[in-house]
Amino acid sequence: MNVKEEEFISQYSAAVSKKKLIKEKLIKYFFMINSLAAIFLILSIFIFLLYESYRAFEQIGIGEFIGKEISTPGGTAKTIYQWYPTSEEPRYSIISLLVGSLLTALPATLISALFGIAVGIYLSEIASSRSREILKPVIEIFAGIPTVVIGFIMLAIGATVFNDLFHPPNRLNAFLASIGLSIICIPIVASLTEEALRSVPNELRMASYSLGANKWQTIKNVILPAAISGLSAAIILGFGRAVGETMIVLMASGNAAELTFNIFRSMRSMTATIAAEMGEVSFESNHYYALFVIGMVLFVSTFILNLIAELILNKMRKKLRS
Amino acid sequence: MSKNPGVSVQVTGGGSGTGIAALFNGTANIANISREFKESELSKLPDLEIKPVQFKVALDGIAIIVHSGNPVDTLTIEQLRDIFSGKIKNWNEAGGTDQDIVLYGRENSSGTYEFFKTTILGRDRSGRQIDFSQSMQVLQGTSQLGEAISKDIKGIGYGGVGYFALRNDLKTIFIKSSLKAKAISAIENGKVNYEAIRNGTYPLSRYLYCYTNGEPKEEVKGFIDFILSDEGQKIVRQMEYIPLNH
Repeated sequence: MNVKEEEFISQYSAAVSKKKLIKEKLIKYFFMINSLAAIFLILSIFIFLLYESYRAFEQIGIGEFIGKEISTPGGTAKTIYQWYPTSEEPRYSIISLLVGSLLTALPATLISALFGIAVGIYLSEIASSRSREILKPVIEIFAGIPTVVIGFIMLAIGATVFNDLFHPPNRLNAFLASIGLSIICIPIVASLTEEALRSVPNELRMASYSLGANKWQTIKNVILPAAISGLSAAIILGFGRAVGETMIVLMASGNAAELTFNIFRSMRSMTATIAAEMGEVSFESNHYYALFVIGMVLFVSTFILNLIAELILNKMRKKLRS
Repeated sequence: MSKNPGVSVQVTGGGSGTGIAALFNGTANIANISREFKESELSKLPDLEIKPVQFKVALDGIAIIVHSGNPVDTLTIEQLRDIFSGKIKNWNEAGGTDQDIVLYGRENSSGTYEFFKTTILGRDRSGRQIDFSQSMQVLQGTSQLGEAISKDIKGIGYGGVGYFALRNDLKTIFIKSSLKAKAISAIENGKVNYEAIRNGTYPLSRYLYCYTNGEPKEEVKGFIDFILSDEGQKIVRQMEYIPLNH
């Protein structure tokens, strides 16, 4: 750049600087307001849930949401964990719903961790750049399938196939739902795994190869341990997605609000309970508020899961950068 | 609407609870309900200054359905109570083959759920209301329920007659009010048993109501008059509900 040009630029920028400054500031504020609005929205959702659940705690009592103590004909007291919000003697224990959510989310997380990490390893370490370019978007499309479509397929086809093969006690059951959930969780785990593995510095790979390790040994002993925090974050986020998913569980699990630990029986998740009952609940009844308590439990648990995953990812990024 | 171009009718789905809530909120002129008001809903009336006016507009019969391959034809009300409350868990205790009973039902906030609970399950000796078994599966809507039972030989469920009248992969159960009584089904030979539902000899029949806030005026009155007219009742029959008369 010669002197003349520099002069011109400084003159020009002095002329536009004031105008530019205002414009830049406006743009800055616009984006800031947008991000603040997002935070404000989430905060107000939380406050709303808290407020509605507070009314439930006030009118029903916190203990009721865990279990209800009843006296049996024998005279001894017994705690029951039942969800009968519309009964004459309403029972609001969300334990069976909590267990139901876990009964679908945990197997789904297990399946998607197994397959998702494998896919992630393939994409990051093994696949040629061409096959990655094809595979990656295809896998990501899976995460974008409307969940109602997956639920419908599980209900219409999956249930019949599964029933003919294994004869489970319930045709619609937790396992069927968790297979449906895996379809959306695998891509999430896979792409996060791939991101974690690719952020491992190439020097590590090279060092491993130079020591005589082959590809599999490098992946197993060097890359996976280096990316372990990223992998755990991927699994946690997959789990969070599985807990929060509604439509698949609603359609494929049969929704029997029974406390069961049998994965081949019908169960009810927290999300499905809200979806099935909110539409017809009488407004501002105890049942209505009780559904908000479930909503709050869901919100808080997925929030914590995402927070943990985010913290782990942040830590990993910092560590790999240094 | 083609006859009354100035009037538009907007319908929102949901269950009876939704309709009542909308009437209370003032967002609806008419609430279509398949049950009577509950205590908890009646107690809100004075605060909200709402005076519900009831119109019986049609009848509905609830059919008990099983898989077409199930050998059981007839059940007493007591057997139904034991089955749906979870006391009987195997079909061989109800005259069927040796296999588990799988229960299918509706959401606990639906009118059908409430109606079945009060008429069939009723109360135990100490006056407590009997609840459905916890193992009852909950499906979204009666057509989905019919679909599920048509594929599940162990299944039993309930739902509005209209949905099942034309299906031959489902069997409608004959109900006996007592051991000696005559068994009556809501659907006989593929046809809705209008007579028994209307005169109440079929135990699972009920009225369907329209509720308005105060005496209806103008368009709202016109709409209810239309439902009650011959033309409206013909539509009721077409929709496989039971018209009030003829």
